[in-house]
Amino acid sequence: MNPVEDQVRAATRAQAQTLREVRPLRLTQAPQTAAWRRPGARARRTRIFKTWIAPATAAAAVIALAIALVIVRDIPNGRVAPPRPAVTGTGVPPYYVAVTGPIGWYAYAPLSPSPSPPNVLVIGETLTGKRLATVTPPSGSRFVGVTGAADDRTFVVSTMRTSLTASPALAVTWYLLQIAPGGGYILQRLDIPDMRSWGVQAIALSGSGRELAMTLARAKREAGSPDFELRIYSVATDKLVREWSTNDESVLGPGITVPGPQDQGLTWVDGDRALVFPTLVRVSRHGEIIERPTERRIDVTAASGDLIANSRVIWSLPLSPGAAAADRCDPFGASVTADGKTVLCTSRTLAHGRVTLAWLAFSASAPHVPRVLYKVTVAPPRAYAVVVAFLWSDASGSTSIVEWAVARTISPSTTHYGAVSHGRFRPLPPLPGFIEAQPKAAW
Amino acid sequence: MDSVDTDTARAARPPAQAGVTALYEAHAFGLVRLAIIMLGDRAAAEDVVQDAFFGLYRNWDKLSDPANALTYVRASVLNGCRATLRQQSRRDRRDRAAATDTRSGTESAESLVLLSEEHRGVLLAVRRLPERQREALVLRFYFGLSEEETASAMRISRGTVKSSLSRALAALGRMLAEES
Repeated sequence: MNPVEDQVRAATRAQAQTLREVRPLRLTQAPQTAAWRRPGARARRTRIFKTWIAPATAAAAVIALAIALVIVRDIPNGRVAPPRPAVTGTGVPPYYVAVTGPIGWYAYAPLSPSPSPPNVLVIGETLTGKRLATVTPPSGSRFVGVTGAADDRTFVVSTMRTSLTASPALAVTWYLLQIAPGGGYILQRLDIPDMRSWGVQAIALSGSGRELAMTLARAKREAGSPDFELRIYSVATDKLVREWSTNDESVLGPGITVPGPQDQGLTWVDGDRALVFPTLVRVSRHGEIIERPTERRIDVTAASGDLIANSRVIWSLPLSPGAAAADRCDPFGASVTADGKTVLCTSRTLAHGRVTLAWLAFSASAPHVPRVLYKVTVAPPRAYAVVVAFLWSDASGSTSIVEWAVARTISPSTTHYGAVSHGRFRPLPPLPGFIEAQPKAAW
Repeated sequence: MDSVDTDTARAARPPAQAGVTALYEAHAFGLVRLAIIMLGDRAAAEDVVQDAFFGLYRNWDKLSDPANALTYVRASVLNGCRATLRQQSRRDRRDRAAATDTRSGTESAESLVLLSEEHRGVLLAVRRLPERQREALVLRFYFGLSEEETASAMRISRGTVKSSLSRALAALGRMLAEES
């Protein structure tokens, strides 16, 4: 057993044992008016209610308007606009789409009021920080995912129903979002079927915007059924194009089931001819079991069937104990660039009381020696947390949008966002919609 | 068939007050303890649990199956903890950082007396984890839930529970090593 597990068990139990009595349950009065509630708490609840109702009402109105717009404004030549170069002079895409507010599991427990900022989709300009549009979700749903095509105009967003009593509960609905010149947008519902007993882990829109890939894990295991699937749907027809499945533990483990802040873990590469997904392979080394991040590639022309048999390993995290600490990837979050030739990862090291964060690139031609794209060294506060991540990168990995923080409390105000290119970090302005560290956003 | 089963379940359920009170008597201690570990603040923890049970009471008739009430209320407690932490964070992030430190004055006097320095350090580190990791860790190792039960309570997949735990333990190991 992991000694840290023991420490957690002991400490949490020790604190739990300090509780010797609990107050009786009151069901006859609304909690916000009950005598036992602290004064501050009552005021807080009232405020929550008032601030929640207005956006909810507005949401219904805006969605009704959006649906009306979609009905009258379909775009010609099918749903998907042709890709075009959309990169600014600085190398970063001009537009981003971010999901704000509660997006995780806590959004779906319906019995408590949500005091969080409203869950909306923000469309903004990367370089100016200008908010171009705010999209509210359909009533009773929340935005949960976003992924973009290479043209920086075409995105797919997903919503999840929040009511557990609705049928089917937690149903996922998909929308095609297209940003028009001038910052307007068109939102069009897709008819991709609900995943029912599957949980969506990661999503990736192809560079052309024509296919949507997603990884799915079965929420509850069923004997004789696969627990993991990789699917491709056509955005134009909503039809399932390919489907691979597996029960392989390397896929079911922490590797691919980590939906990173950007739904990382699934990448279209090589002109949309293949998909790359991460796995975590357990290897024995000097009697010790090590989990080794590994990237696998599957050609999208491969027939539907077994995911592992149809894919091949293209990169594994080097196991080189002699390597400099700064050259070792964090065990999670490696990603492959769209050209399929570079693996990006981050590292963090503590030496002489200073924290060094690095953004690394492994080339396919030299898979064991990373190139340092950028690094920063800071003196941390006494007790601190670290965030270091890629948020976006271009097809070759030469320009990236990154974030980092070394702070006692991680928040947008302590997190640095910027573009990294040619070894330089250029800060980005505060981006509307980035209300949390590790925002869920796509470019 | 589904509608028949649902109707049968609804017909067989106990009255709201009796059902919720019985559930509270059986599980309030455990849930308040869970919330204390999440929040480090006993009063806030009790508020969160009371809210969760009151919410269950109000929605009792909407439950498709009363057998799921504990899972339901546990998710509500976690949701309430998350909401409280976010509220504290927005109100004053600096104060929140201090409040999550078990050496600050917001911990109950009982905790200060009874907790060892080592336990305080571990709890401080646990509260510095991202919310999802902290919740998975506490549900799994304090509450003793299985991975599937943890996934159900957090409404995430079993794989995500595993990955959150793996990350949490790695981060805790680093933090505790740095503190020592």
